[in-house]
Amino acid sequence: MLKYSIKRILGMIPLLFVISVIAFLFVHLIPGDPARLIAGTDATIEEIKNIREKYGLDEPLYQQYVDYMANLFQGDLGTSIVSARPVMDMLAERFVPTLSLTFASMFWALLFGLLIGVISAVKRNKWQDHLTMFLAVSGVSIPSFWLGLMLIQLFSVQLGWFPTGGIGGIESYILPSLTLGAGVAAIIARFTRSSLMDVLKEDYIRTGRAKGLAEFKVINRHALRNAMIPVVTMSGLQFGFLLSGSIITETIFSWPGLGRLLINSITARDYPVIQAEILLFSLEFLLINLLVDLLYGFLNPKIRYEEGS
Amino acid sequence: MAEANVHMEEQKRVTPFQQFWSSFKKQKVSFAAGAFLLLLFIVAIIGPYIAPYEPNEPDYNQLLSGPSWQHLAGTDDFGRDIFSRILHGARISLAVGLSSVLLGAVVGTVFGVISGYFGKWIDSAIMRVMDVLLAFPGMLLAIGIIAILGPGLVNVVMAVAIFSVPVFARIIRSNTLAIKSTLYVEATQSIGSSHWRTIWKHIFPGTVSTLIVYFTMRIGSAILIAAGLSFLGLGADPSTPEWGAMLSNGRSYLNNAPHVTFFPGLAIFLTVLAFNLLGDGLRDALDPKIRE
Amino acid sequence: MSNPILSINQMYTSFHVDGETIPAVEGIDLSLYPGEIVGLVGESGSGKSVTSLSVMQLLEGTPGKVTGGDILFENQNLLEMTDREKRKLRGNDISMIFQEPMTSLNPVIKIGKQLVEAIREHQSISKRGAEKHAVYMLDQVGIPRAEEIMKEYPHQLSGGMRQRVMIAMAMSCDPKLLIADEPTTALDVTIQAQILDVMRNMRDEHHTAILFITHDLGVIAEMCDRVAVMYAGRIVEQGTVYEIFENPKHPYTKGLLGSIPKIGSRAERLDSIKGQVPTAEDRPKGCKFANRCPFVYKHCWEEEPPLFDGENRCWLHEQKGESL
Repeated sequence: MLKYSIKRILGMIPLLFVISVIAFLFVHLIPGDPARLIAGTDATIEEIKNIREKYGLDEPLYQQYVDYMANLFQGDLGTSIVSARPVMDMLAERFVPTLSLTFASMFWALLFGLLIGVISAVKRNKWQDHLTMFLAVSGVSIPSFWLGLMLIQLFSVQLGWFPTGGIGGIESYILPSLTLGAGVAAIIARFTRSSLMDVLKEDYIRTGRAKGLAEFKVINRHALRNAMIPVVTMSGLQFGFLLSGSIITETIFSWPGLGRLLINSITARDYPVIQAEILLFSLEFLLINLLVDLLYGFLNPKIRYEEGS
Repeated sequence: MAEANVHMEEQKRVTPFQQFWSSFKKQKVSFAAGAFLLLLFIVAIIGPYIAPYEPNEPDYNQLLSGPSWQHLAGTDDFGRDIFSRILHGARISLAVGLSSVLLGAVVGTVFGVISGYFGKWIDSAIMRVMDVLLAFPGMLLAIGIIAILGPGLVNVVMAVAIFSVPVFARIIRSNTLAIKSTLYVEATQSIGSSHWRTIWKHIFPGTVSTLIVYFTMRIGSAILIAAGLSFLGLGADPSTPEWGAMLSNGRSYLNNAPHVTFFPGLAIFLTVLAFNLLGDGLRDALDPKIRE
Repeated sequence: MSNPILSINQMYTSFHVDGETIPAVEGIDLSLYPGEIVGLVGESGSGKSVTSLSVMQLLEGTPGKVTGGDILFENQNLLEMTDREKRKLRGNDISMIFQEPMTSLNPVIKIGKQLVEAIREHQSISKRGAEKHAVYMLDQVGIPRAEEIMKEYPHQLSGGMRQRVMIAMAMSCDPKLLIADEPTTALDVTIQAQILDVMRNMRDEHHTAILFITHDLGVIAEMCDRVAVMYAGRIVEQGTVYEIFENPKHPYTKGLLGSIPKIGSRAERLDSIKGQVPTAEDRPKGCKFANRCPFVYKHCWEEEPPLFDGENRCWLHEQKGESL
């Protein structure tokens, strides 16, 4: 397991490099003079010149990259054009709201996804299966911005149960996390179904039945754990989609998170913030992939116990 | 096993299309979804002629009025008829969905065929890039591309096309590898037919059914993401009757006129749902290998 | 002899696929007495595995169903029992081991836990007590360092060891009937012999009746007291091992004996009999063996032979009966 973990962590290094290059190059990819972009549209020539010197934009590209990385390691991500605040501070205060929203959504997604998936696999080809799978296709087809607004209309405007937006107590999490979790719940449901149906064909399931176990115990003790190994892996990867989905959900619910900041920065052409967000989102994906890999290794005894695998 | 062979032989007597059709007809839900989409395509073509109102014609006596016989889906904040705008929007949504996926499919297929057919360093180079693209969720990738290209409907098409490329490249690559290893391609190669001829005559036809299935499935998500980008103000101009933009526009009136958001959203939902259901049905009918 | 522990009477099992009904077993009669090892032999597709799954009532979740006859276990009809009553028997009074030791154990659960589960399902015994019993059972089937094996996962054991674990598990509740479906087919020759030894010991010590399913007549000769030969969903001949080997009556049995593979050979194809087992749809109208039988004559194609003298289904023996 240790060897496996080390191998996975080392495997991240080249990707980290690629991502840092992409984030670094981002400002250079946009058509036009980066200094002018960073300075903003109404900047004077003097200001643009200052920016060019400050960011070292007149230096060779590799030197700029080295400087960029050096700043990065000191926690310096530049300053926002719009608010003139350090980008690091802006990201830091928005990190927790996004993370907590993501986890709340994953809670719903797992709860509904697993439940629906297990029901449809066990009731294969019966009406329960057809109904739940139709729900699942609907779940991946429903536009989250529409779902979110309809939930607000029903539960906030009409019934007044939950706030229409903003972050606060638990009640403020319900609607945004349901909105964000719906699509992932549907994906998890479909995946759980096919994984569990595969496992139910295995010989050891027959062994469980031959022991005289009730069907409930066969599924609970023998099928679910094996079916869950790929489901957990896949669900972990869905964190990435939750993060990207949070962009829309945060916009709908005025959630003070990273996603809304990204959209605001794009609209306002706040390039240092966009650049930092790209880096942060990419790092998050890498981290998720790594954690999922390690979790997979932990859940699977074959990997956990075999040295050198 | 022998019994399965008997069935195979019986099926060989009918054309592949007949075989597909008889198997597809059994899937009632997908069949209905296909019929709905056919209707939608007709609307996209003739929508502007059958729409009861001009999509951009304001009526200041009818601001934000709810659904009625006069205005089936009500009117928006300029008094424009929402039903007429949805009919017009069908053309935009379908055009954006189709063109972006088509673009992605063409580029992806080219990469996939090259990668699978030539192998070696070309293969690994292409596939590494595809892996990186695939590692990002479509929405984020699209937003990143929009951040570089700037907002606008054309750029949305580009962004959605780019995130579709790796999906097609991967599938086509593995199909190409599989077909390449079958004997008949090796045989034609030994006769001395050119690479492109081999690809065009033998490899491409073999991947068509997979291509159709994925094409259909991707259109749904392309429409969804395009509408999402327009909703975020990164896509269509807010004044155009694009479904996502219309919905975004209705947000301010959620309290007193929820129909302004409800109907465009319903249109997106039903269209995407229909594409996904059709895709599922096509997959089951065309490609029994990936059937569960 | 005492009463039979298991008696299968005119059992029919068929599979329901895509609106078609495919018969797999068509009216078989078979009895097992306590402490007896009965072999059920036949080519693949003859219905022998379906017979075992029918007795275990393990066809649920498959398109298969027992459609006729009855299966009496200690004079109680399994087909009339509730699910709960059947579960009480399964793994307790009737247990089963399978062909694939590599995949028949759950890969993510420790060996010990899987054994303890089988024991505690049927006996009110403490966890500690069940563990002790599990170790004892592992000892009995000849597994060295049983205590350590308890804490290991299936993938850490060889195929032979896993099959021993399966036997230990099947025997842990001291069943009256053990069904073994090709238990040695997937194993090496030397391991095969060891597993057969273990099973014989189990029979001797626990007086368990064993229904031994195999395509390998060599194994039958070594293990069994009686044999039933299956062909196309029917038992075409049965008798003691001595009778069958010394004086086979049915042409199919003769063909099988002519092609005895050496123990350990994995060949499922019995080359000395020409042709293949017909699929359920292609079975001849009369005797199901007619299309492959070297002695076939007109009558064979027209009418299916009944079981003559309760022993074999071949028109040749009716004639003999008449001429004598």
